[in-house]
Amino acid sequence: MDIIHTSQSPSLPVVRVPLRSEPPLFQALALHCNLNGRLLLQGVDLVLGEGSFVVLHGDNGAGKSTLLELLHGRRRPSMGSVFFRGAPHTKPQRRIALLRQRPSTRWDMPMDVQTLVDLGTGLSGVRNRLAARRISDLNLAAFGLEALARRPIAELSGGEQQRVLLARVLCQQAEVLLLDEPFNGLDHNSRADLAQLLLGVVVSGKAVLLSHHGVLPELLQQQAIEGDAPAPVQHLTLSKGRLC
Amino acid sequence: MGMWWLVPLAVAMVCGTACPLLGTLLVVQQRVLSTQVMAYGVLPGLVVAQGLGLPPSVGGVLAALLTLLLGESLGQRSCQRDQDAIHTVVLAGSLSFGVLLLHALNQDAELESLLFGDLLLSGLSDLVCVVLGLLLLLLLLNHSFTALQWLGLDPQAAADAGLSLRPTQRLLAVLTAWILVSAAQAIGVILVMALLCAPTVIALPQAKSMNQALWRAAQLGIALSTVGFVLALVCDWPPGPTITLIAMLAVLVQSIAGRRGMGKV
Repeated sequence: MDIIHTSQSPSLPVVRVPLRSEPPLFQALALHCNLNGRLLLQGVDLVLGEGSFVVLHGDNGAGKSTLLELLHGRRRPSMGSVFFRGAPHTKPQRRIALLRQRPSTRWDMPMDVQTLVDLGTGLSGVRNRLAARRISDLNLAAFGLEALARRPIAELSGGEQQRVLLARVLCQQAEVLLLDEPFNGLDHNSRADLAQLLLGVVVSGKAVLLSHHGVLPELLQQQAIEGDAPAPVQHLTLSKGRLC
Repeated sequence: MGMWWLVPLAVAMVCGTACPLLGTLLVVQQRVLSTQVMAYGVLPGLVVAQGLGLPPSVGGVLAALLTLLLGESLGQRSCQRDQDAIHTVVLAGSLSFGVLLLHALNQDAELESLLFGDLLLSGLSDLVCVVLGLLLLLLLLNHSFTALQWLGLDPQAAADAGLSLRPTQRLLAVLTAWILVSAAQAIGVILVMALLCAPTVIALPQAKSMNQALWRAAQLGIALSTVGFVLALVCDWPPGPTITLIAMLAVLVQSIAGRRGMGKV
């Protein structure tokens, strides 16, 4: 039975941390962030364990994207620390993947979908070509992109672009997925498929933290911990710079 | 007639290969304007090198890199909107600085030669320099193709994954400076910029991959250079401007053909 940590501090949210993950996969302590003279985040604490699935809610401008960038290492906090597997984490690395809300991908690049997804596999550290191709093909299939493998990326629709980027991120084989509004641009069926896929990803011991604004796919609309049976999805809200 | 035209033709063809290959990489990275800044920034370096008795290429390459650094550091302090304007100012300032240095050091130099080159006077040393640039570029393409693809596609996402593209960027900058300087000494800055851009903008729209884009751009570059050179010999025109004009006409034809294919007038 998994041990659930209960926090002594009211600011520490309760998350499911399996007994086998010591130290915690991810830990943020007292994160503060000043942006353009505005205190965006203050005293944010967060613990993520293997198999965690956390959805971060918050209004526009609440600081969700900034928090993800701080956890990822792309941005330095004004105060506070982030730890990955117990070691200080200060810069981006392959094992922590970030998908931004507004990716800076140049879609007019002469390239097809397969090549773009293969670039993600190239980041995974898998050297064996067959194994790498298998990873790419699996993720292309998972996102229903096999038929689009040879299509130039310039001809993709907005929803197809988002699915391709998600496939590329998953090909990276990271241990932690930080996804900033990943359901943007996806139709109802694609959202449900993505939710199913991400729930499957955490079963293998990875952690997912995604930010969202609006109505979630049904699969992810789980209540917080009830009784002795923890729900697979935890919900946190970022409001006025604090996590609750 | 003699075979005196062989070496200049070879120089034109090698430039017609190296410049489009380089141009494809620069266009997909949206770095054409900063390359132009480098191209016109070579003049101060050429003047100083000549004054110190050093090989002009050394001064030219250093000046090109310093101008690039200046443009980028000024650009980093301003917003996206102002980037083109800042690069243009640096371009104009570098060229003007070079002209003032010429005047101050009482050096003789024809600016027309810098802009349009003296292709018919190019010799074996020019050929060796541009061939070296081409070989180094092919080496870079072979060794760092994935990094170059990331630079064109999404350098931010590569950095997010912990992939450092800085070494490749720096190598590419040095190689760009070398090819600019060595090609410009033979064919002039104007033709260098035309060969960087024209074959690329014709090849890119139909290319399904970077490999295809590079290959097609190089083929077009060789064709434009060869046709322009032969036409210039036959009509007794200066070859640099002739090749440049043909490159521009090729872009115009491709643009019209492309619009007709899309059903637009």
